[in-house]
Amino acid sequence: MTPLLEVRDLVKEYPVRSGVLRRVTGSVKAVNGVSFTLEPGQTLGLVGETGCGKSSVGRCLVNLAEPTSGDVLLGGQCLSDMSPRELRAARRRIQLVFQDPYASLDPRQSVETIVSEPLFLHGLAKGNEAGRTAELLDLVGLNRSSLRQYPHELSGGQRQRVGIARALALEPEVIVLDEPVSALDVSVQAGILNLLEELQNELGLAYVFIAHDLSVVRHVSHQVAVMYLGRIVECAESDELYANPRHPYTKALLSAVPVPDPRVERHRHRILLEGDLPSPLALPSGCAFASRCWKASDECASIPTLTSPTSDSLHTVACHHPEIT
Amino acid sequence: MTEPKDPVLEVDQLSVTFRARHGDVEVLRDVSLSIGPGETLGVVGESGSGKSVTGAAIMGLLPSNADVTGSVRFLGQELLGAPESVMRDLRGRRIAVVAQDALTALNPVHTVGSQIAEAIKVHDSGPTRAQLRARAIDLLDLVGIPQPSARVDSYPHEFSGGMRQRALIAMTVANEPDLIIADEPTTALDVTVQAQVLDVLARIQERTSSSLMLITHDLGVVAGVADRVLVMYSGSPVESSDVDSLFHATAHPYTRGLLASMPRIDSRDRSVPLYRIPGLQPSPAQRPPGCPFHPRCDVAVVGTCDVDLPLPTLVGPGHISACHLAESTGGRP
Amino acid sequence: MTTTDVSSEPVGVKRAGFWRRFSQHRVAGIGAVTFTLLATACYGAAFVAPYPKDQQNLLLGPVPPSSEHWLGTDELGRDYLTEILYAGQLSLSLAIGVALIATSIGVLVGGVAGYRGGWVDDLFMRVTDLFLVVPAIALLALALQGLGQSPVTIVLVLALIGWTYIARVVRGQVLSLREREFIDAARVIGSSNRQILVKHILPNLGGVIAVNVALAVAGAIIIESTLSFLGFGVQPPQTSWGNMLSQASGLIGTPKVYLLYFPGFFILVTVLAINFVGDGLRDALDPRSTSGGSSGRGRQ
Repeated sequence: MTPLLEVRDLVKEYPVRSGVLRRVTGSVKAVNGVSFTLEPGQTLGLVGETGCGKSSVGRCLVNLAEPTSGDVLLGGQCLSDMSPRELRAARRRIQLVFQDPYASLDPRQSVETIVSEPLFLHGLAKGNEAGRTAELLDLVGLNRSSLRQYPHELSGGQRQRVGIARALALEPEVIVLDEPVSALDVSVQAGILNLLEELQNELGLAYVFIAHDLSVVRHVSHQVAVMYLGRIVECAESDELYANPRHPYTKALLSAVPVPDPRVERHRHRILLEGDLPSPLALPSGCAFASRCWKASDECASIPTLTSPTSDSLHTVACHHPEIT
Repeated sequence: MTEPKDPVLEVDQLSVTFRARHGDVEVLRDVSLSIGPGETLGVVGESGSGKSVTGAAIMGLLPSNADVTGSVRFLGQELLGAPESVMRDLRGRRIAVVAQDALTALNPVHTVGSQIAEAIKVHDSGPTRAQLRARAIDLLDLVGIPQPSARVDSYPHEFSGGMRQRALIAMTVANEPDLIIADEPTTALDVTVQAQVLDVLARIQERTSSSLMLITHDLGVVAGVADRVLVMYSGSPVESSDVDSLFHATAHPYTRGLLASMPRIDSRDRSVPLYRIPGLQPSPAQRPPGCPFHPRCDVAVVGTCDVDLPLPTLVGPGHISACHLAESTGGRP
Repeated sequence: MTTTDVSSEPVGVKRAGFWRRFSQHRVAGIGAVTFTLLATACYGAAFVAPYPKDQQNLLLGPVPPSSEHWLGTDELGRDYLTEILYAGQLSLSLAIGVALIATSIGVLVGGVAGYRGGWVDDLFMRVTDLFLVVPAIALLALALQGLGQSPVTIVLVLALIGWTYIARVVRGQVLSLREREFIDAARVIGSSNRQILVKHILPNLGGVIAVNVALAVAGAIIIESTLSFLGFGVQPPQTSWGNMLSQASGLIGTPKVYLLYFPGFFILVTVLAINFVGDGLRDALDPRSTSGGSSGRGRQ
């Protein structure tokens, strides 16, 4: 069965330019070999901290950035093999919701213009664009009176709903969400998360949910992949990952997330990581996490691959010393 | 319930109004709080709740068009209306402020060590250069910066984000203040870095017995760090208690709503969607009459909640709620 | 649908804040009104002027302002107000022509350079630098000597010198716009580069362009006046404010000094009025210059 979305060994490098003539002096490997699959109606949470490359992955998925190597396959078809016309058609299948609800909307366009633009671009709902636009607003829980409003007149939560409506206009099968609630207050966040869940249930959407907030990711995801310095270090079903993290980084990450319950907090053992993130310009050979890992040994000079250390093939770890519980 | 020791900071009915061309804006209304020695108070609220203004008002750092009334007593000394020279003497020495953005708070053209030394020298001209350097190295070590004797001569841009924040904290607490006010110190940081910074703050408190006022929007951080919590909404305090009671004996609908709307890392019940508080926090100009929260409250009583501002009610030992429906245990809050 | 977003914010102003802010700017309003009156008077001189153009009255000669001749008469007895109004047609037309052509070139060059980036940007910017480095007035004088001094030549040469400033400004604006997320968003839904330029970048340039056109007109009036004053611009028998100044240049200290002051005054008022309008436009570009309005970002 061809997966809906498949990523194979994705690598994305950004050249570093310096000097008067802006010569390329080096490169940053933002994404260093990422692979995963996604099925309809499922949410894959992609988590990691600053510099892990998750946003770059997101951009490659919707062809905002071209992979340096590796493939992004939509329904079995590779994006980089597509002609411009096929690519344009592919845009109808995979869309993106941005992080900043203000910057992602053109300040000079009304909500109606913003949400209907995809319809006009692709010739959808011909003759009834206005009606379809109004329906889309209903779908995301916005009052129809907002059609005439401009982004600066809306609250952050409303703007994000506009962004979601725009993404839905093309009736995609996959939506990539890049930190969709990070810029919102907690009480507004809940509304957006509930909306996303409802839409997934109603429309059978698949999500790639990119975020750094592990509590949010747990809430929305069926499967979670943890990234560190451009690689996936652990991938498992959501509940399984949070209950039995196998990679040392995942353990440290989970232990650092605060829980809004003082009784729980009092009994937690926080793993504090030593040192800092290695510079992405000079990635260490071997396991990228070894420099900060309390389990590091000689073996870790070679890059660990993503394998399942137990018979549970859904839970994979890239570590020479994974926890086996 | 009486406090065993005198409070380090006592704020009583603090109100702040900004005078502007098109009308006055009341950003804070009757905020009261107290922090004991060595105690950590978490001031929690969403953006626009007035929590940062509270910190600024205490430090005397509000703009000139701000009208401040009420009382702010630091170790018994009244701060409101005190001359700037008094405030300057206190700032950096007895009361320290940890800012959110370490990158802009540190001077890029001076070494970290010299900036720490400067922070000490401003208030104490006694120590020699060698002594200052030794203090700086000691502080960098306290905040967990590796190889402090080498790093003391580094420039801010040579540090990573987390290390910079820790260096800033070192500079801020160089004079072992009695009170540290930290305004969203970890908001922009990765969660592992946040853990490091909070750990540093805890270690400093241990060493210097400072009190800490931690201003944040993150209830998780507060649960792990604070002894007491003050929840703010639209410029007013709505609930104040010890940290356990706030989470397990919640006495205000807003706090309850906030807790119910937060996804948690330790559990996921897929049968129940997150609770969502309908509507939006009002800006000062759009505040409704009566309780500021009533339009969004699921238990608001018409005729009471939309008419009168709720008075602080004592609902338990040291636990105050500003809600008409809170059940008083008698006694004055 | 259980997750309707209930907003407590009122339905606000329809248009984005720019024009609203501009209309509230009092000084700009004065400038706009003044300029409109002036332009109407000049272009409508056939209806407004008290006397026909070039009607000489050699017996009268130059007389100071009186009830029959509000601004007096010149050496040939022509009513000065009439002459100034007709001269204004040429001065204003030259200035507007220069501004429009310079802006068009500038927007094209700056826009493409900013949007394409890379070697295109480098190339275009080096060309711009080349034009900037050359001393304008000297080049102008030479060009006009060589190409003849018709108004069309003047407009073209001035425009060819003046586009560089606008190109830089537009390029900077486009560079910053290009990185904005809503441009990425347009790409993701399938817009082509051309569609993005037309639908998203150009409308967001409107404010910047408007400000620069206004300032370009003011600048062009001054340059044209300077040139004509120096003898390089508009030549008699055509009149512009600049060469009226030139013909009256020796009259300081004499009773006929009004022949110098009046054209100068018109230049001054026109340039001031346009600058006021330009200030208003520039302030309107800055969202922080108003009271109220929810243009703030921050967490919501």
